[in-house]
Amino acid sequence: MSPIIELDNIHKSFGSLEVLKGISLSANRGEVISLIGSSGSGKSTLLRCINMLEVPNSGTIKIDGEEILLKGSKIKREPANLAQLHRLRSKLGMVFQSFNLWAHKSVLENIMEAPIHVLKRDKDEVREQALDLLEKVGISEKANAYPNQLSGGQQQRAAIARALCINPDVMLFDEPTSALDPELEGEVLRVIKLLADEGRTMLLVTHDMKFAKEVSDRIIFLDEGIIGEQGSVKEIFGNTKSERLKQFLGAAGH
Amino acid sequence: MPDWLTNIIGQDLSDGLAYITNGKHMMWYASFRFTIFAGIFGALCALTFGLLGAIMLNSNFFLFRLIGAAYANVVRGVPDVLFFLFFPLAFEQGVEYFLAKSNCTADELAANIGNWPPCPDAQWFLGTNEYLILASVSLGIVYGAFCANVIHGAMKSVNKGQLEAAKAYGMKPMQVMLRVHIPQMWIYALPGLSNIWMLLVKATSLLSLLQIADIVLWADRLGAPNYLKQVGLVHPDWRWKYYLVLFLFYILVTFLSERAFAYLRKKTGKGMVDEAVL
Repeated sequence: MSPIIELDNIHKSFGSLEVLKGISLSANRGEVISLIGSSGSGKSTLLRCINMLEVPNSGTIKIDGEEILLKGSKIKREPANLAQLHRLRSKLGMVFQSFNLWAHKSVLENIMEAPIHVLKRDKDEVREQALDLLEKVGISEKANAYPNQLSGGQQQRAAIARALCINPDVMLFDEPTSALDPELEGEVLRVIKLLADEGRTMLLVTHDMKFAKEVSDRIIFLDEGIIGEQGSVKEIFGNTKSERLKQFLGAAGH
Repeated sequence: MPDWLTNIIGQDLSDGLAYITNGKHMMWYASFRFTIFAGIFGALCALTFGLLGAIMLNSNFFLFRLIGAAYANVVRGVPDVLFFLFFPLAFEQGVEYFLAKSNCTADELAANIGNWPPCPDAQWFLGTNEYLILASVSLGIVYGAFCANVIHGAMKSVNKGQLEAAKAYGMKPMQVMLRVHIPQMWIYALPGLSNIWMLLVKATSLLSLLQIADIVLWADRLGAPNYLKQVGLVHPDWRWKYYLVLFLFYILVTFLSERAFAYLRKKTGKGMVDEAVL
């Protein structure tokens, strides 16, 4: 079976700053991949390229074997086929660092929004699934609350439920616990662990080495816009090859 | 006045009551409908133009941004009184120009050089209702430019992450706009919009400039010294009393508007700002 996500030679610059300098990677179904690296290493940008929140200046991205069509070159590069883009995006469940739940909608409405208005699914069926998901992430009682009435941990769990409700092929997590107090991290990490154990395909940008160790099948270390090192948890943490990664892990306390 | 009522309230009050319910006063009261219509329809036009202008200002296309900026900046700079006189006249003569092209013969045109309209068939007669609609649209265009500016600013205030999430979940640009961007913009736009609404309400007192017999014109007429041959002087210059009634009307409108905007704030601020602030 072909990889669910394939990135080929991705470059991305912001102004004169080259953030990604040619990154290729592929993710297989059921694989949990953690992207680690210091701030500015490009790991969030890489994740955001996958669903075209950032359009790479060059390189190609395939979702489930289908290449996202782009036109133009360099900074003028943009999606060529919006219908395709919208269709492929709805296969990717994105979880943001700052949650980004829609503030003007209740938790339940947030979860039901994309399935109903993007995927055009039946409302009753979606509601049922949404309520199940809220139970799964442990905030059933907050269905009718607004996001600003929830704690950060509850908001992020709601955001995970929102991502799950589009039945995504891949879950993308962009530093899902970085905006949370340490005591709220645990509740979110438990949910992510649960999803990993279910065999979902996940790409996770994280600063939390302990957690990356716990859930990942593969770890990719980004260093100044290129892949510095990659491998299984054992290889990365037990048998670190590059100096840069040793330094990074040392600073992170491993 | 019927006798039984006069018996109850006395002759003086009865005369007064008869005076303020006579035919001309009734027409004055009825003329409030012009002001109210111009206020409401003008505001709806302003909001529509404002939204369109703001969406253009927000567009990715340079040409749209240019049109939006031209509208917001040029029209805001024109005095409303002037625009109020200009737009209905220009619109009327514009229509007549096209009527003349199709309806007038060459002979008529030659005979009528220097006259407007160039021939009788090209005349577009505007009654009170037509003027009222044109006046409301003028109000809409002028205050829509202010709305465009306010709404544009409000749209910029919406958290970028909210829009990013909508994109990431596969929404089309129009869906992002209608389902997230515009619903979230109101809470930031309302303070500015309520100011514009008050200015627009006050500008409805300009209707008499277009020969609409509105509340101001009637107050002027009714308050002027009134002399009848049969009875002599009915009353001296009472205009200030009539203007005072108009003051009260506009203050009442202000009061009701404040209440309405407070309600809208609660409605659009749900989830957006702290409950305690609302």
